Amino acid sequence: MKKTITTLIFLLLIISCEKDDICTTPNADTSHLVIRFYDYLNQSTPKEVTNLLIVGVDNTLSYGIESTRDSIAIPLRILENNTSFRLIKDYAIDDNGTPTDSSDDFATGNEDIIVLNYDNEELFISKACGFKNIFNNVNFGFNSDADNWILSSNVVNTKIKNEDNAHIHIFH
Amino acid sequence: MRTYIFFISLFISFASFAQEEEIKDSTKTHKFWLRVGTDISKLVKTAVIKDYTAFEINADYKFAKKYSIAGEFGNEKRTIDETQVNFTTEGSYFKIGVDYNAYENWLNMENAIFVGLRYGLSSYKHTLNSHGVLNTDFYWDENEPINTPINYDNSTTHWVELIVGIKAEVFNNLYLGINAQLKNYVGNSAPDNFANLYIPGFGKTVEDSKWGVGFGYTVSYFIPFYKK
Repeated sequence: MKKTITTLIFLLLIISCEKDDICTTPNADTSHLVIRFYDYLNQSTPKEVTNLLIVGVDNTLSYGIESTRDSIAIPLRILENNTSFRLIKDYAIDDNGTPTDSSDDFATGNEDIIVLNYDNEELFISKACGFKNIFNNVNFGFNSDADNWILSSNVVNTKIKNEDNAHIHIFH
Repeated sequence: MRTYIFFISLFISFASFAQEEEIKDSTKTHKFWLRVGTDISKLVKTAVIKDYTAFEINADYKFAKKYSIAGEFGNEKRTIDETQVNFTTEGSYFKIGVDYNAYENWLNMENAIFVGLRYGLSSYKHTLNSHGVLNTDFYWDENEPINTPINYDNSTTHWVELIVGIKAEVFNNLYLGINAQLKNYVGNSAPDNFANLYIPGFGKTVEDSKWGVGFGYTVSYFIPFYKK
């Protein structure tokens, strides 16, 4: 009996070692908004947006550099109920005929502003991961101007909880 | 559930042993007693560690030659600071069960090398002082923890516990003891949108596991009752 008790005490000491508190839960990070671009005339065909530059409204930085692609994943604000982005198609720098002087350069391209409204929900994941923000009741719109490259849109998923599929389709 | 049944069957077999031994030893004279004490590790931690307050009263009552009814009652308040969560848990617990003493004592000594089983019940609540929303994208610079406290509803956990330890008389009628506890919860009500990361009387919980461990350092006073 005494041996059994000694063994039990020893076992307890081993079991009491904690596993490391590192966040390993899959999909614990707050998801990006995924937008896919489709052809306006043939709405099931993906269509690339050429030289697209993404800049958050009220943000001094661009989100990455301009590139040609048929889908984007962009971050929504978690402390606000809305986020706006300037999506500039065919973004380019015009050197104004003076390639050596950058002071008179100006940007060209077709800018459309997209606006997202939503409700934030914090979902508990674990001690190591903390919470994850989920965007509910997602509402999408774009400002109309004289020369919109975005022609129409469709909200596919009003809840942003993962990045497996597109949440918004944009037709152009 | 299988573990639960296992513990109950152990408990029943201990209880039936108890009856047999009592009958066998009824011709001899032996003392019945009550031992009442406190967990000094909780008192020391309360004094030394900031954000920790705990107190426990424990007792065991000898009812047969090698068996005693044992229990603990206490309350705990503890703040835990992790990378993504900082929370305070506060609540009370009690544990009741039987100890088996495997030590052969001389004459009237009552030292113990014991193994015991307990049923434990804890009622408590959590306050989340600050929390982080996991966001590995730094574009909007919204990555600071949120410091608005959140209060959660009361939680209840009950568990089965295996306890092993020693108790030794160091002065006249004063015992010092050390024990280790292995626990497995059989019922746990998690609050909405949070988890019972710490349970008073049970200790820290590990994700996806029902197991918990604990250690105790007891000082207790021995009160003899009557002789048969």
